[in-house]
Amino acid sequence: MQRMRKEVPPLLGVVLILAALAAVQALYWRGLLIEESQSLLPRGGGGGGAAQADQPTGLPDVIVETVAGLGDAGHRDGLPVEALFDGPAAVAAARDGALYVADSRNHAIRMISPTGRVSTVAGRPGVSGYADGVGVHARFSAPAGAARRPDGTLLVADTGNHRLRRLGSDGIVSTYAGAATPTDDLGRELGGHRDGPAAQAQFRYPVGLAVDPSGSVYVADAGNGCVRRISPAGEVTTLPVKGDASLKGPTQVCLTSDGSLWVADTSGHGLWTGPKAGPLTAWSGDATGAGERFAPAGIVAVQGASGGESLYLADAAGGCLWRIDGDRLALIAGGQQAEVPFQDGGGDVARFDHPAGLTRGPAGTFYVADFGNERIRRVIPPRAAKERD
Amino acid sequence: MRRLPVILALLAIAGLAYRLFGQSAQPRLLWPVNGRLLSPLVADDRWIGWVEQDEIASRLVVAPRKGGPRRTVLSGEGLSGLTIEGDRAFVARAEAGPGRAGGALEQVTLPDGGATTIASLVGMPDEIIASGDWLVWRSTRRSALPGVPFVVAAAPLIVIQARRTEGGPVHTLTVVRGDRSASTAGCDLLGVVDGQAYWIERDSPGAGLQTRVLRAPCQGGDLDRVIEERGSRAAALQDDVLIWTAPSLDAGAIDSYASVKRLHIGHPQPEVIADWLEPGAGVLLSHGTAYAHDRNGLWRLGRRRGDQRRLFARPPRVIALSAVGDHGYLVMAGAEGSVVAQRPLTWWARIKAAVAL
Repeated sequence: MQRMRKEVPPLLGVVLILAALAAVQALYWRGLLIEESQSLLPRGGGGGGAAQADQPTGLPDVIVETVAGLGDAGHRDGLPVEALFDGPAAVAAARDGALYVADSRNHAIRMISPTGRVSTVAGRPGVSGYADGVGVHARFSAPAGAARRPDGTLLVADTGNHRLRRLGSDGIVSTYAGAATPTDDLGRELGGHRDGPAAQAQFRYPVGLAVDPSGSVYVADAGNGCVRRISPAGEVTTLPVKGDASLKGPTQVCLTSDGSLWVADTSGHGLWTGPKAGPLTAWSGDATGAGERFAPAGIVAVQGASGGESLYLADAAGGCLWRIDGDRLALIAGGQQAEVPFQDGGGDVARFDHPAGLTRGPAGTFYVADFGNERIRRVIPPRAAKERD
Repeated sequence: MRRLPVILALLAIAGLAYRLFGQSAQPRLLWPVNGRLLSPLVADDRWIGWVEQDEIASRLVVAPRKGGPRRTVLSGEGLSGLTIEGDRAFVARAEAGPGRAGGALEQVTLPDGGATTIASLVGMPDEIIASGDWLVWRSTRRSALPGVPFVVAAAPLIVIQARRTEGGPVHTLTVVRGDRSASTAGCDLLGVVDGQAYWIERDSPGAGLQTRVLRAPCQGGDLDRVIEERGSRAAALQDDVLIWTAPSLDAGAIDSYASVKRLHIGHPQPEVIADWLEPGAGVLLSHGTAYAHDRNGLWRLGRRRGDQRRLFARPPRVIALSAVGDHGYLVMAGAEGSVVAQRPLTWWARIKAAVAL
């Protein structure tokens, strides 16, 4: 027995014990690890990608090009390719070829000169407020509409302040229409609805503007779901609507050469039209081709050199431009559900990201405030393209 | 042959130890979550709580941390944000429907479940914290022009407000725009320290990836920027310790790996206490201990960089994680529903769990 004991060295016992402890430790840590494949609970079902249906494309002979904007959000004046915008929501063209941009998140009015240079003409970039004054001393709150008056001054829909402002050629900003409205617990004006003299009238998130040759102003009063008219004498009225239907959230209005008024009802996913004095009627055309997401945010009537007039729409949700062809819509540029949000080129490859306000340009062209792409774009429809070439 | 009993004994010891310690390290399934989890998993010293929603209603559920059945203490529509302090739970209740949008803060006494509406709100609350004398909550005021995203002025607003727990005026601490195009993508409450509310704000991708931790006196006042970090995703605050994630210093690309920084409020410089975590790592603080979790597991962070130690691997499909004392609590999702599970975080807790098995 004694001989046998000598054959088991103490070192071996120590090694065995250490090995066992190491095994325990290894097993212990292995026990802590739960591989992805080991499940304590039943697995959820996996989601498969839905096959994408073929989407309609724009017209290859439509040309879309960038006028100004690098594409990043921000504020920078300068050359067109250097300039930064932050939420350009509307654009208006001046007689001299300059463009005025309601740069909504910058709370400022920007100008693109005929040579393309971008400057800030009113409002302090990034600072919202309400103040009349000269240039950078004026304050706006998320301006989202603009239109030029016959006298050359610019009207601005100061959307967040529920007012219309006037920017004179001398750079002075004054209040054109709209009175103070009730405020919420945060001190923000809620807007209101009151007709009457411009200084006492109330608006609620006014957005799109149009001015007729006599100086009457038409306002897409988005928050009130109606269109307002300001007479040259400064009297504000609400345009009537035919029937029981109502506008939901109109954001741009335009006038055609035959004196009709057209309204893009973004929230209502439709168009309205009627004589300038009303009543407005829901457009009876077929917009089903634009899909359920159709959200017209801009509308403009463009006269070609041949005298014909076309109505174009910006579809904010669809990221594309449509033309009203009789009682149907024809896609002219941009792609619905496009994977690439920005692209210049032909209408079949061009891409927009929440295009909003439209305004007429020279020779049958029009401009787009491409809100999501932080750019101002120019669209040259086919006939205009041929004439330019 | 005489070695055989020794070897068998050692193997038996190893097997027994593995059974005890190995099983104790597995998640211990505690309570089912019926339906969808609507709130963070709140772990207090005495209670574990959450808000769940099935097809019928949303429910505030609590369970004793020491063990015992879960119980529904409040049910109704629109419950979401939850905080527990002592024997009181505060839960946010949002009301939305045609023509109405608002909400309220409810106080629920634990464990009986008597509920009292302590504030009616203009916005829809979805996050709340209670600390000392103060209640701080986040609410959203929905868009004044639904479906018109380019009218910035009408975008939804995220509002952070505060009020004393026992009543008094509501103070608005900050208002940020909540639309997809706004420069601020959102903000989350972190906590209250010395009467100041802290929250984290993240810029939207289009406006850069800056993240800021801001603070303001609960009774209202100027905002103060505590830290600003590019690419931070998560932060936690407890007592006077603030930790947050930041891109790894050595990783190059901003989304490559994460580090964790710590700042003692009042000290000028933060310190890096962990590095090379997976992208999207989150952080927790409990009883002065910092934790980080990524897809590799839960890590306890030490005082210095490099002291991080993995406590356990991350089980699959964890949708909420919390830590209190020496235990971590997880909500693990499955096809049949979710479950709250517990895992020990310390050796002592593991041994106790092993003995209890």
